[in-house]
Amino acid sequence: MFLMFVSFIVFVGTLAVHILIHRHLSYRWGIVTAKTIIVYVIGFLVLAGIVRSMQFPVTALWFYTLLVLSYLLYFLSFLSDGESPSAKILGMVASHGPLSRREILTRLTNEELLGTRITRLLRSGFLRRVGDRLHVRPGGAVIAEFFELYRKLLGWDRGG
Amino acid sequence: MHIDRIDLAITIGSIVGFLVFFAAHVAVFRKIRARDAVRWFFILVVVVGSILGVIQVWTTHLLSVGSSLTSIMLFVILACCYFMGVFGLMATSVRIRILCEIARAGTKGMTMKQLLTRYNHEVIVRQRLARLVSNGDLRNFGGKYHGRRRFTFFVFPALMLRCMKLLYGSEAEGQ
Repeated sequence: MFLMFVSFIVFVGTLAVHILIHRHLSYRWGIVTAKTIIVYVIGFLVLAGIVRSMQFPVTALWFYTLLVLSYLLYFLSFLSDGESPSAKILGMVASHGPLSRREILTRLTNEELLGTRITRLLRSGFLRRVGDRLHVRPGGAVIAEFFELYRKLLGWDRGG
Repeated sequence: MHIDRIDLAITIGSIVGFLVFFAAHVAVFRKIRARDAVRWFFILVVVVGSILGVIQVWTTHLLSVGSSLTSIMLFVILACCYFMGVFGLMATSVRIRILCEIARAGTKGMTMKQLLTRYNHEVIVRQRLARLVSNGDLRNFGGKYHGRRRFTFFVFPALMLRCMKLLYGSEAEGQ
């Protein structure tokens, strides 16, 4: 379908603009922010302008939205978590050869797996530190509550 | 904007397909083990996608085969977004688990030491090794973990992250 191709091209163009803005902000000004994703809203409006007189505008816009959503999942994970523990384990085994659980544990410490993530949660305002105790802020509590309910809906044990 | 019946049917079909998938996913995932999650996700996507196509093309004659395939493709992307973005976070995210553990402690909060007694690198590595072995990515032989495949379900996100480091610059990561 031609309109899907148009959506894809607009997505790729918006992605290129996003990368350029992000690189410019981080290298020139030292600013790293997720707010740059606003360019995808502009991409949506541009696409809406292009497809409004064509045959399947809603499908084209929905396709663009899903492409952006799936890409943002990776981008936000890139900004926040970095490489997952599973990917790190596979990378270690690929580069060092067979490893025992103990050898993997010495490379993946509490500081590397938990310390860095707690620092980011504190910095992004989901947690706060009072003395030596960690507390959730309202934003963090909403996310925790949502995932607790979702976990109960699926009847699953604790994740992580 | 020119919106016709077929245009709406393609989009709404993908959303309805996702809702059916979600209901089936909740029903099935209540009964399966965590290590079978990826396999069952693919099974459900194929089954619901096929049913969606049959209903749209042969039962209701609402869409042509091409339009129906478009609708199914949109449904698959939506299901993948959900699986990675919502289910994946619940099942594997370290940060979500940290938030849930600290939230569970209520207004008293929690010290780092208390958190580490419940959730630590041993728990994280044990869960990942079990998952990687059951998915066939690693093999435990003689107490050592050996790699099995070059490209796996868990390698794709790692490849994406490496691409992003190249595109956005490694300074951006982990801010």
